[in-house]
Amino acid sequence: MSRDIRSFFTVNAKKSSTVTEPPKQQQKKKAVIISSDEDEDQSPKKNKKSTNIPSSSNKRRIVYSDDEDNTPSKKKPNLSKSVKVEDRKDQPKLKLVEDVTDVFGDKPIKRFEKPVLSKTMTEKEINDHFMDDFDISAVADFDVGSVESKTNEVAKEVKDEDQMDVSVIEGTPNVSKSKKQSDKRKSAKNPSLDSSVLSDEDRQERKRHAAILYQQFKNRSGPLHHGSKEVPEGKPNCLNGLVFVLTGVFDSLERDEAADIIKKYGGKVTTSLSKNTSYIVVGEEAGLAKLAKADQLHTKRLTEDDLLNLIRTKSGLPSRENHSKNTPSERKDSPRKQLDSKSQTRDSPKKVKEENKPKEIPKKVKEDDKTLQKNVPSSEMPKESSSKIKVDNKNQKKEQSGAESTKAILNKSVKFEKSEDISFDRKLSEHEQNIASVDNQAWVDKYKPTNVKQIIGQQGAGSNVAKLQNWLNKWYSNHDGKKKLQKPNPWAKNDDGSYYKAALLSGPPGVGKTTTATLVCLELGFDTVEFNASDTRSKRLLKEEVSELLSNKSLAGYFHGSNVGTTKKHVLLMDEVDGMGGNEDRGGMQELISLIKESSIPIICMCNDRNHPKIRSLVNYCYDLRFSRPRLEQIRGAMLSICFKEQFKMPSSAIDEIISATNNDIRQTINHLTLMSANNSIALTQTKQDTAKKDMKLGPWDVVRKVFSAEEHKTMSLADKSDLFFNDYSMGPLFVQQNYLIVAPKVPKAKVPEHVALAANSLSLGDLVENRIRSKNAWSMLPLQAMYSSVLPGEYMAGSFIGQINFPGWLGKNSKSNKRKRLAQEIHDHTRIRTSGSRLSIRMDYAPYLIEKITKPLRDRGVDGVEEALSVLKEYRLLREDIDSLIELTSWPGKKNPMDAIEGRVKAALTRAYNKEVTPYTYTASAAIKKKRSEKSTDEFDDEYGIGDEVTGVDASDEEENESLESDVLIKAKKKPVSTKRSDAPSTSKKTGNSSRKAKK
Amino acid sequence: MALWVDKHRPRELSKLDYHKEQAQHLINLSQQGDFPHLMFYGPSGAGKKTRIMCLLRELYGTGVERLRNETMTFTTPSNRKIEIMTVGSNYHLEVNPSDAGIHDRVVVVDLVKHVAQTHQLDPTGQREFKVIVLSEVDELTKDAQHALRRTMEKYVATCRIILCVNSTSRVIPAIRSRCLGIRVAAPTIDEIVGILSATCKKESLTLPNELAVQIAHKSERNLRRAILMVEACKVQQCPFTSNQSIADLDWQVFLKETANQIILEQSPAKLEKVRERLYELLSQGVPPDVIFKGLVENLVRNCDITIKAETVKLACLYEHRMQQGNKHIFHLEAFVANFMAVYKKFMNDALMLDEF
Repeated sequence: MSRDIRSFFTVNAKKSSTVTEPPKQQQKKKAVIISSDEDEDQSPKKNKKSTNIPSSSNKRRIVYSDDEDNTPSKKKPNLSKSVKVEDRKDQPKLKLVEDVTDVFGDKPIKRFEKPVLSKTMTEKEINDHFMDDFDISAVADFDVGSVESKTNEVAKEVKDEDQMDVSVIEGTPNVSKSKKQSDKRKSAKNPSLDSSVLSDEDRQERKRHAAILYQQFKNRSGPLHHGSKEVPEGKPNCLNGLVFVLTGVFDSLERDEAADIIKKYGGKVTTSLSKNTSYIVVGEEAGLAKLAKADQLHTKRLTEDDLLNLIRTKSGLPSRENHSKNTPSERKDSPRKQLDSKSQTRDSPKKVKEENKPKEIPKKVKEDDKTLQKNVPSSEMPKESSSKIKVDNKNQKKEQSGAESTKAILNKSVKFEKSEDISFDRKLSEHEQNIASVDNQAWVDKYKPTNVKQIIGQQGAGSNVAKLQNWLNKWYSNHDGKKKLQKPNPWAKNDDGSYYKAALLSGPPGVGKTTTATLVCLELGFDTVEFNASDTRSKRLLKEEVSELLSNKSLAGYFHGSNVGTTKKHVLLMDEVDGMGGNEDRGGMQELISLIKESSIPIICMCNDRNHPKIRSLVNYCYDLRFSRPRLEQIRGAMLSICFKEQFKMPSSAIDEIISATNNDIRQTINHLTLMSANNSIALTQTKQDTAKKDMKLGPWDVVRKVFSAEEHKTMSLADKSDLFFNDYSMGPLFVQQNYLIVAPKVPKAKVPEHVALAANSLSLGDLVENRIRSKNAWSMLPLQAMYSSVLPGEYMAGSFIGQINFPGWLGKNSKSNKRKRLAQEIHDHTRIRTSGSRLSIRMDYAPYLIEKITKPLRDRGVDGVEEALSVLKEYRLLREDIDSLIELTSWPGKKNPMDAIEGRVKAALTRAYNKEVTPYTYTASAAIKKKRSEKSTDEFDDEYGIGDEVTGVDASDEEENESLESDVLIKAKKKPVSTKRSDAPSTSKKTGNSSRKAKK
Repeated sequence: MALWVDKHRPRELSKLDYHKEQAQHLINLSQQGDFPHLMFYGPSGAGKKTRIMCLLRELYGTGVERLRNETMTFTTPSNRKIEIMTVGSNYHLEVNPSDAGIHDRVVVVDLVKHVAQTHQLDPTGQREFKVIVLSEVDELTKDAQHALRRTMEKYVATCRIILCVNSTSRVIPAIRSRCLGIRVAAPTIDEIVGILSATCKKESLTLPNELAVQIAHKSERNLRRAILMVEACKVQQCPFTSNQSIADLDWQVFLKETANQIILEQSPAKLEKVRERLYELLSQGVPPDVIFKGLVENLVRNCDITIKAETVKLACLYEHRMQQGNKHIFHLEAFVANFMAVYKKFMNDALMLDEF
């Protein structure tokens, strides 16, 4: 970063940057400690400069601590200052070089000292830390002020960049840091200049960094126990004349709410601390800068509870709890967990002291008016021994020494977060005001997340949001054509998706897929082009329009007046890709895939069901991000806060019910809340509880258990019982029919047959209804069938199961009877020429006699009987395998197989003789093919399914197969002309024998 | 070596054994040169197909006996391919459209049209029309029957359709009115006895009259079954004796046993066993109405006079429902369950009365 600054001043920027780079790294490690040294060095300069200022406000005074911080204030007053700013342009460079040498010179020596000084170190650190806070508070304050005075966007950018600079330089002294800030500020004013000097990469890098920091801030959660505390009814104007500053996140109140409460009682809320501030109300993750400044100004700290108690005490109510003495220090410390415990213990008593005499502080500050940082600590710690100060000073002198680098860095990072917090707090509140102002919006839109952290259930490093962000961020570097990426193993756990050019977000509706995608793009500064199901997404459209779009640059920046200008970064959002299909979007999926293959931009696809056959081909080209439903607890908090904002009371148990009833669908839940708020009756939630339970989908096994269980019936209404049927209305009746006989009904034994009869009767009626439904498409009669097929049998037979619940036998029996029917059909077809009967008569009358006629000679006379059996086969034009069919058709339980008595060699002889003598019939070949096909059919089905809606493909393969079949038949027909009844002169062709043998297999 | 039933089938109208008057009518009809569509109806085993073949022979000569199998393929509107086996000669074509199941309409429309639309090139010395024999027309769906009725009128110049039906009640009136109905009643017991004796004579066997009468009764006037039974008897015991036992068909035995079990015990567990047996019967292709009939006959025979009427009533109710329904077993089971309830109640009441 330092390179940037210099490049700003000198032409040969890049050369110099190489020089300073090594120190930059080392500085990082040392961080804070350097700064205090620098401060001492620079203090005279600062003094000089500060004298130039004729008058200064309280705020500015603090700002003086860094000479650079004068700049903003100087901007306004007079020209001379601006000149000075110009002058100073040279200074930073020099100073920086000095710093660097300092750093280099001192570092090794101090390292040795470090272990020796360990005890005093901590104190020194604290001091350092304190100083840091001080500095930062100044910076932050400045930020706040400047941001407010300028247009928001520019200001934000400036600030972002500032923080980034700081973070990168880290180790460099505060002075140089703030110096850079001023430079940045200037550069921000004329972005063209800035951008001309900065390379694209840098900017992107910076922006990214800023975005991440920004995000961290945004990630701050809302009040933990929103609305959990009772706000006291104080006397009007009980806080009159008091000035409050709010910082951090409170336990039960939104910031705006807290501010409202204070205003209501006559208090004043300001955004920045001053000596007039009477209290600082501190919450979780309070801005460190503010805390530091409060310390400096000896402003009294309050927690949320304290604030409420204050209202109570001021209005003469009994205060609830009195932990005002302890909590503030705890609160204050909590964000600084990184600090060692010693500093905490030291801090708290100090605070207490300060609180004891808040009035003194402003005076002191005034006295210190022109003194600098060095003095501030002493003034702040008047009661502390001077030796300590000496130690401090000593430490400061050799401070580059043994500060623990890690600790220092931690301090720094904490600081940066803090300074962000302050400025963004303001932003957030603006957003909230927005919410309040727009009233006629649907809640779903109104409370739509405006940043990624607000997305429910997507916090944490492993979340989809983080993954998507990471993926999108790296996209350009991953796909610049230089890297050769490996396709990851589909089972790899932590794949970052760098191989993929597209991401596929899949998950149930209402969990925030689209929101995630848009917000992530927004935060990373991508422009989005969205296509959803309402757009036609045919092959042509995708090809022509979208691909054209993708090669364009976005002008959005120009029109929105931001300084971004044109960007090349867009994202194509394909929403609801599973909705692609039908005639409108024909070929769209294929085109999308080819688009992904060639894309020069990231593509984000979204769908509900990633296992849908349409999507399946797409999945291979996408980084798979699956969204699951957020847990109930995750949704609950957000819902409670909505309820609070809408001033609508809703017990959290009721909200839980709604959430589980909607199956953790956030959008649905909010919609339900809207309804509730409109009705404004909690009574409604009572009925809700039952519906929530019903939404569970049961398997047929559970259903049939419930249908007959007398226990369950006690709590079920008629509708509940009939709902059981609807869990699976095709399998349900079968299960009921299969299992109603193994229930012992709770009726007198004599009545059991009657009840069984009634149940059977109702099942029979149910079948009538079902037939009607299926044949006439009269689906509106399903409830009637529910009564007959499920409710009534359940009612008659209610009791307990005495046997195991079985799978419906009907299915197996039905397929068995269909198979036999087919066999009978074949035999009927084959014997048609010789016999006269219908299929039924063949089956019921002929078959037993026919098989007897064939097997009898074989049984009685063995091999000698083959001739006779064969003649019967020939007479009836049966195939060898028809014997097996006949046997199956005539088999009955308890009847032995007529073929069992026949020796194996007789059977073999029969087969041989058959193959030798019998000429193939026209149906011989087709029988073989049929057999083959039935083996094949499973694979074929899979293929068809895979191809999906491409009918042509299936057709083509079908035709192909047909051709091969026909050629097959023809080959055989050529060898053996179609045999008529009289022309079955035996011919002994080996080939046909083979073929029929094959057929038999 | 064919079974007797096929071996000794008459091939000419003049050689038929019964319904001789009707045969004469058919001869006259065929000699007239032209005749309307015909519908042969009557129970199974009465000789419908035999008469149709005889008539065709009368019309076209012995050429019709040179039969051949042909497989025809049809494509349904839903792009499914159906294969139908046909039997035909140069002069006629015999099809069973109900083989195609619910797609029988396609068969009727495509095949009948296809055959009927081709004219005879040289009508001299031949009939001007071809004949299509459709068997089991009563099994056709309503759709197919409606499709048929239009083709019957349209192509009457080039083809005659002969329908072979078991029961006209399932043929739509529109078709009935377009055909000349020819009823082939089942032969009387005497006729059967005569035929059986003649057949045995041809096989150079002597059949005792008592046995012949017994077989005739057992065959339920189904001539095919009767002849098959005679042959089976011959296999069992070669020189016939008048009191030799006649083997029942397996499904009949099974059905009777099922009925006995119902009488034996009435409980849910038994009903479950009966269900299994009914499933077996159904999967063996025994038509459910035959099962109903067999059950009722056996049950009524074994139960008290007071519940006979009730049993028949129940059977009627559930048989009717079965025709309208889809899953036969549901209705069979309901019948059995209800009969069990009635029977059990009757038995319990009887027991109570005895105690008093």
